Formats: sequence, C-alpha cells, structure tokens
Amino acid sequence: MSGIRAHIASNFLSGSIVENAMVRYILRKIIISLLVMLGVSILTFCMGRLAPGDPIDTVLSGIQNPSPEEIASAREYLGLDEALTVQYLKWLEHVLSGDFGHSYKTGNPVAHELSIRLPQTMILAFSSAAVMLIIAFPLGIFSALHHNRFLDHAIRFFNVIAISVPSFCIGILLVLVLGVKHKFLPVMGSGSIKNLIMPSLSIGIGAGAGLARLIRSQILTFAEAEHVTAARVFGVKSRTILRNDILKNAMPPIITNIGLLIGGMLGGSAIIETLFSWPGAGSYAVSAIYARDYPVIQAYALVMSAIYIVINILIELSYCVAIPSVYVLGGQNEK
Amino acid sequence: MKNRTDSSLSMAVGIVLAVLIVSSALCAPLIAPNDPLKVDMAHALQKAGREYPLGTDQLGRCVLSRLLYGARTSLGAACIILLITISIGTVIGTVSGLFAGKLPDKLLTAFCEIVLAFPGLILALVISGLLEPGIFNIILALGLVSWARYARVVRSLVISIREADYMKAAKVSGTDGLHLVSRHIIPNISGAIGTIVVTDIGSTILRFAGLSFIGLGAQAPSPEWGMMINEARLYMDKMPSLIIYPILAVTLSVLAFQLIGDGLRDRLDGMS
Repeated sequence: MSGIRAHIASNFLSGSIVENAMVRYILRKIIISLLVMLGVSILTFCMGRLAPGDPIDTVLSGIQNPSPEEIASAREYLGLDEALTVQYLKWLEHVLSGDFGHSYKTGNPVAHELSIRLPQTMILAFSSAAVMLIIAFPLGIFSALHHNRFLDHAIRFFNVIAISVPSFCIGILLVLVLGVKHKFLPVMGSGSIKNLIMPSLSIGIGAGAGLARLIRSQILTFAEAEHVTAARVFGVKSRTILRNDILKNAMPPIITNIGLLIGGMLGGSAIIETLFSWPGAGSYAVSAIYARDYPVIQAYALVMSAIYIVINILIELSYCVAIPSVYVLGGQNEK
Repeated sequence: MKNRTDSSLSMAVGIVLAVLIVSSALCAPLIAPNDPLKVDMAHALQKAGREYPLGTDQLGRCVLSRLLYGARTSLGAACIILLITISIGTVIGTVSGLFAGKLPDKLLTAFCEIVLAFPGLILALVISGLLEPGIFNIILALGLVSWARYARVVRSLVISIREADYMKAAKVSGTDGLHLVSRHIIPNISGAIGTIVVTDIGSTILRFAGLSFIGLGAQAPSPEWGMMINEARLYMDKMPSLIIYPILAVTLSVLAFQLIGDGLRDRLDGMS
C-alpha cells in the first residue's frame, strides 16, 4: 500500500516538502547510526574485559617465571588498574585516533595489521556482491515474469537448492571441480583475478539466490497494485511498466536487503577466507581467536561493524536521493 | 493464494526429509553399523563395502556412522541455539511490547538496534573468540546473536494483540500481569514465532557447520558434519566421496527445514 500512496503522492506533492522530509530522514538515520556505533564500542570494550583468562599471561607468554615488577609493568601497560569507565574512555580515545593497541601475539600495531588485510576483505566482499547482483536480478525478474510457468519453477528450484548449500560447501565443490579435477583455477592465495573467482562465487551464489527470491515476491506483489493495472489498461508497454511502476516501488526492501547481505558477506567471509587462504581481515580474526589475541578480535569487531553500518546507510541514502518520494514517504507510512 | 498444490508438494518433500533426518538422529545408536569413534588404521580410506556402507575416513572410522551421529550433533546444537534465541527474544520482546512507548521499551529497542547492527556471524566469532573454541561455547555464541530479530517480531505482535478485546476483558476482570502473559499473550504469538523458528533451523544448522568447519565449534574426535568436511579436505583428490557425503548431509537438512518454513509462510500469508 505504501508504495501506491507514495507513487500518487509524488505526483502531487511539491518538491520542497519531499526535500524537507528527506533531510529529516537522512539526519535521523545518521544520528541513530552514531548512537549505534557508541553502543557497539561499549559492547566491544566490555567483551574484551569480560574475556576469561588473564591477558597478562598472553603479554608475558615469552617470559618464563615473570618477576612481580614485570607483571606490574604489564598491568600498567594494559591499564588494568584503573576504573572501568576510565579504561573505556582511554580506550575510546585511542580507538578514535586509530590506535587499536598492539597484538598480544606479534607485538605489531593492530591498526597496521588490519589495514593491510581490510582491502582484501573489501575486494572479496564487493566482487561477491557483484556476483550476487548478476545472479539475483535476472533470476528474480524472469521468475516473476514467467510466474507459475516452467521457467519460474526451474528458477525457484535452483534458488532453494542454492540457499541450502552452505557457502563453504559451494567453495569446496568448486575446488573439487575447477581446482582439483581440471586445475582450471588456483585453489588458494590471492593476487590475481583468477584467485578471486572461486571465493566470490562461493559467497555470491547463495546470497544471489536468496535475493532473487525476494525480488520475485516483491515484483509479484506490486504487479497486482492498482496503478499497475491502470497503466496496463492505458496500454503502457509492459517493459515500461516493469521499470517505472513495479521495480521502482518494489525496490526499497530489496535495497535494504542488499545492504544487509553485503554486511553479512563482510562477516561471513571469515569462513571463505579461511578456506581459500585469502589474506583478509576475516581469516586474520579467526587466527587471532585461536591465539586469544583480544586486541585483534576487538578491533575486528569494531571495524567490521563500522563498515557494516556505513555501507547500510550509504545504500539507503543513495536510494533515498535517487527516488526520494518512494523512499521517504514510504518509510514514514510504515510508522 | 498462489499455486497451492505446488507449495504443498515442496512442503511434503521437506517434511519427509526432516522426518528422515530427525529419526536418524534419534535412532543413531540403533541404526549405525559401527562405532563412530572407533579408529581402525588397517581399514583407512576404504571404499564403500559391506562392513562400511559409505566407506571409511582417514582414521578408518565408519563414515555412515559418523554421519548419523553427526545429525545428533547438528540438530541438537540447532535446538539449543534456537531455544536460547527464542527465550531471550520472547522475554525482551514481551516486556518491550507491554511497555510500548515507555522508557523500558525505548531502552530495550535501542539495545536491540545495537545488537542488530553487528553482523551476526561477526558477533558469534567475537563471542566464541572470547570464550575459547568448543561446541558449547559456539552454541552459546550463536544463541546470543540472533535473539534481537525475534524480540522485534514479538514486540510488534504483543503490541498488536494488546488492544484486542479479549485482552481488555482480561484486564478489566483483574487478571494479573504474569497470568496475562502466560495465558493470553504467549499462546497467541506462538504460531507466528513457530514459523520463524522452523525457517531458522536450516540457517542455524548452516552457521553451526560453518563455524565447526573453521575449527571453532565441535572438536575432534566427536562426529560433526562441518568438522568432517574440514578433515576430508586433505583427501579431496584421492577420495572425493569422503567430503561429498557430509556436504550432502548439511545441504539436505538445511533444505528440509527451508522447504517446510517456506510452506508454512505461504500458508500464513494465505490466511491473512
């Protein structure tokens, strides 16, 4: 319903009302995101402090039978003697200036280590997102256009299977067929486009199939809307109807979902990165988990959620700017 | 609403698969041909035969028996994870819904928003990282990350039935709060919650297998599908069947609950 109302409203409302609503909408989104980031930082900090096991042991793991002085200096180095709120504020100050502390394991600055690996994770996430979009839109649209005919059934069958195979299993099957049997693609490492193909396919196929299902059901929902029937009656070309009347209104949940899926890819890539020895932040975090390297785990959690939040807000904003009427008014009607 | 027979068919397939998987998990000790933990190096990496219907792994353990016991691990873990998820989600959602618009609701909603802002798998990774790898910790981690979505759904359901006539009647006749929740609210939202739970069994099995695959979940030698997949990687070129079987097991179980969940959702949509 909201889509139809928005569609009609966009034709009658003057530009300035829409613009005002848009600015308010954007501001609200940004403020919420900042609050969420603050909450995330508190949560991350607490998790670091709640962790079992004494971080001092990890710092001093190289020294046998450390003296009391060495332990005291390690406590001071870690700031463990101060009040929790003071510790948090100090920690936050460091984090905001880009200092995530030093890795317990290697002693290197975590920010530096992470900054080397983050681009790799981003590359993987975006090429996976490309795979996802290339799969999702054609499948979703064809499926809806051939509603309940053979092609629709075939695509839906593929989708439900593709969703059910875990991404790392798709990865292994790809390795089995393309890497081991035919030596067609390299099975591990990074550096070339060829290295990127299998990990991106592993992540992108399942996500694409899931998105295709949403696109299909969204199109089918709006295909029954009154303004679409009206357009049909007036003899508008079906391709034009699909683009202007159906897809435009069907997009907001799809866009939101794409944002969530890309965020999921950033996090979910840890498994695929480990499988393909992809030198990204995810596989780094996994190895940090084994080493109980808390500063690395904390930094990973913080940075990844920040990226996740930023990506989601950017995607929503880009759409909000592109088709303000649908988005802003549609969003308000939900309330 | 749509093609009824079509959705019934896929749901039937899902139910048959799910019954098979659940019963093999329940009856694993009765139907497993061998001890899933018994190492027999003399018979390592054997092809399918009479004694070992699906062959043996690198340590000579019976693959079929390990798969059957693996169903126990995966389904059991999924059940506990979802139980934790629903409990937290229902409590927080109900409280939030009952106090809708007031301070407790605002605080809880904000907390939910923060938790939702963490990509689920990252949060699970972080929690399991703080707790040490292991099956119980991964169950706890996965249970703690996905309740916020349930809390949201429960909250909106509670708000929608709060205004229903039977609720007003119950309030007017002096029913106390706890009774209101247990007799009127919970029974009325359980159907909707159940549908999400069924759909989530699949994705929970999937996540659990993924984390076990990278070594954060079940630990050797206990039989678990994700770990079996990981162990079989080394023998992929020599014996691909070793890795295919557990992949099939995970996929079929996820598929089963996916199909049932889709069917249930179609039915609910058709009713409303």
